[in-house]
Amino acid sequence: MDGIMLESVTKSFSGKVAVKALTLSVLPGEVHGLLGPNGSGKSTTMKMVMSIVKPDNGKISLCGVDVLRQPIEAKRLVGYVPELPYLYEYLTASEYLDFVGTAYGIDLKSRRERVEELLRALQMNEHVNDVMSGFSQGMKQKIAITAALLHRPRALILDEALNGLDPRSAKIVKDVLQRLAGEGVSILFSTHILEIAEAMCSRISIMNEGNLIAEGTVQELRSKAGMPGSTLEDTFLKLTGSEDTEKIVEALKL
Amino acid sequence: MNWSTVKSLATVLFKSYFRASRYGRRSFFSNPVVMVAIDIVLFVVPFGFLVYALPLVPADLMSSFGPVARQSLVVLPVILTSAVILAGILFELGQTGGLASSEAVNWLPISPIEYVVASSLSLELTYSPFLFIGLGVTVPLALNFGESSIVPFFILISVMAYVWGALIVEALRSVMNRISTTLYKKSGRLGVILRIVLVVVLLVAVQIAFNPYILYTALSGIAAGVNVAWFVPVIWPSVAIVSFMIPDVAKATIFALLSVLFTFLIFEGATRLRARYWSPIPVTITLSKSTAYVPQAGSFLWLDPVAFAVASKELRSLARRREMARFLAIPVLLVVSSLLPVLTSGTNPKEALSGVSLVLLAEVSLLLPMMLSSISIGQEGSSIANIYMLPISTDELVLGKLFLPWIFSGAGILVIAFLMQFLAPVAAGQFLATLIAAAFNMIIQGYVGLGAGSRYPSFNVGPRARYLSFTGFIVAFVLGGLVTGAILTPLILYEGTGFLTGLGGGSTGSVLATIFLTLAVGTLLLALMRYYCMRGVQKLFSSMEA
Repeated sequence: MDGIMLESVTKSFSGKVAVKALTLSVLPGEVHGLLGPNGSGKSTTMKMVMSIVKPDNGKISLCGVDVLRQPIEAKRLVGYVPELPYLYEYLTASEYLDFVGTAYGIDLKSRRERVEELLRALQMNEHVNDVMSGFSQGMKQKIAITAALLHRPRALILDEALNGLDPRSAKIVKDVLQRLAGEGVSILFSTHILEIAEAMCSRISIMNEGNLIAEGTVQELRSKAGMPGSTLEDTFLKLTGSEDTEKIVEALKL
Repeated sequence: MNWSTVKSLATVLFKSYFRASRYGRRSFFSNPVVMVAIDIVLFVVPFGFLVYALPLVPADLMSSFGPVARQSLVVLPVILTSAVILAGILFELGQTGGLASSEAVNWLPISPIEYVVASSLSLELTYSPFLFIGLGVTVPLALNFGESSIVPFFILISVMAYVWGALIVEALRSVMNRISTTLYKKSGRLGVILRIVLVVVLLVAVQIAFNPYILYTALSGIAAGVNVAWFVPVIWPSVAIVSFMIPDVAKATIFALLSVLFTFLIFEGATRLRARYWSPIPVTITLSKSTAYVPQAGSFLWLDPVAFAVASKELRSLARRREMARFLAIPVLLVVSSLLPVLTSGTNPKEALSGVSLVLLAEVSLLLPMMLSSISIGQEGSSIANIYMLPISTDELVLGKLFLPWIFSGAGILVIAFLMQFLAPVAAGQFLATLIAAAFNMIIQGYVGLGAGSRYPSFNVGPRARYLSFTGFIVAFVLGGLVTGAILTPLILYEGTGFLTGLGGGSTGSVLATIFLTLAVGTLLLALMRYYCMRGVQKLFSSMEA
């Protein structure tokens, strides 16, 4: 089956369980939001899908390719934007994109067209020959996004990919993602900005302490939390058991 | 000046300076109180030993030792100033741009004077072992050789010279960062090349300057000529000490006062520079004025496009990262430090060079490929995530990573081998056997280095980072040494013992036997070490745990 599939996936680090028997699917054309507090296991889940981190148990497939058995083939099909864009900062943007493009096996003509259109869209075309060490976080994020979209992937794993982007670029990226979803790309998307998740995601999974605690559309999540008509933020806080924020602010004596 | 701010900032700078070094994880040592305790031990141990041992030395030996002891008192201030400057500059050159920039001081309410005082204090604390060992050795010498009256003056002057070192480093940091920033901003690619060349030249010059032969000659010159070079400020503390010993109190007082004045001058200079430039912020370096994207890719020799892309990235890492410059300087240093004693020994240069060429050949075929390949994984730092997330196979990665070590050492081997053949020609067969052994060694050492580097990487990218754990370093060198020994055995048997000369029915036969044995041993070791390397890389990339 196409899309992103995780079946009973578990991962521990030094005895601490980061992800517990997670089963999740992202269908083709779906923008699937992965929400959860810090340390809930979202990034580990995404790294396992990317075969960067090996799960202890379970099965993961990407567009029908077994990630554990054929990691290189799986990576060819997917684009990934990590939480922190670890770029080679001593390279220029064009050198880095050449490196990524070559690894994905993109021919020179397609690469030129693709890089030019993406960099122009994200207003980075003026910086193509600048060394990336001087880039702001947002600029680095734009290069990471460009690199992830370069090879027209069939699936996208975006770990807080809109962090640091200016409003215009964020809007462009959101529109691009919606269009890619329309073309059948499976998108697993994590963010802490719940308004973005609500606006973009057709389905949402909420993780807490390595467990999948809720999954469904925004409406289904509200019903599950017994809070119909509430905001996604209130629903999220209720489901993750962290709705005591007012008391915490009061206690600060500001 | 707010002293609590200075104290707090000095502690922060000391800790960050110390923890950013290769010993950074041992946070126990990054406590200023622990450092002071270590300093006391470093003073007391040599002091106690020399106070106990010097009276036991026979009188005739002691009398000849007297002038050297007095010279050590004279040169200690110069050594302290130079040592702090050297260590400070090497630290500055070795650190990454991210660590170099302590931007927070740009927006915190800290004055330039407070920053300079705090920064120099942190440097003084970091390098305080130099001062305490120096005093621990020289003070008992002064006491033993009838110079006890000079001790308080000597200690004060030495401490002042030590402070000079820290203040000069502080001033140089502002200037270096400014120059680096301006150079990068204005000259792009040329600036990158210029900087790497300058850093390599500086590193080599510094290491040569601290070569025992040259150091001894220089210090003897300083001790003998302090009165001649009295106009050089860095000599003033030494002139004051010599004058005190004569004794010429007036001259000693004048040079001591001049030294104090110079301290204020350097402090003022450092403060003004810091006020003018503050802490540098990262600049955007434009390597080309063009804003057009021109895709670059292709295969090269035995490299497919992906392996070639990895190799190109490695070359850029080596050429553009300031902290990688020392790895470019090491081969130059190897050659220079091997040649220097030979060329200054006074023997016929042709003979001397032919004698050292075999050592150079072994160094270039063993150390260079191993060093460059063993650091190639660790030097990725956190950017190793790129390799994990891109569809790069183990074969492509290994070939890409080993390309530069092989090319650099291959070129070095050819240059040295042909130079050797020109200076001290041997029979063509023997020359061929030597080349084959060196080539096998070079290729295999690349696999040994990468095998160890992938098993024991150190992703700490701080100053003077090794990019290879200590265990990895030991493993690589033991394994590499064994491999070199095994590969060179047929050649040693042929050239050294003459064992193979008797085989094969004549000189041609024995050379052929040597070549055959070298090929057999080399092929076997190549297969084994390639397996060792591939397994290491596969294991590393099976899962990123950090």
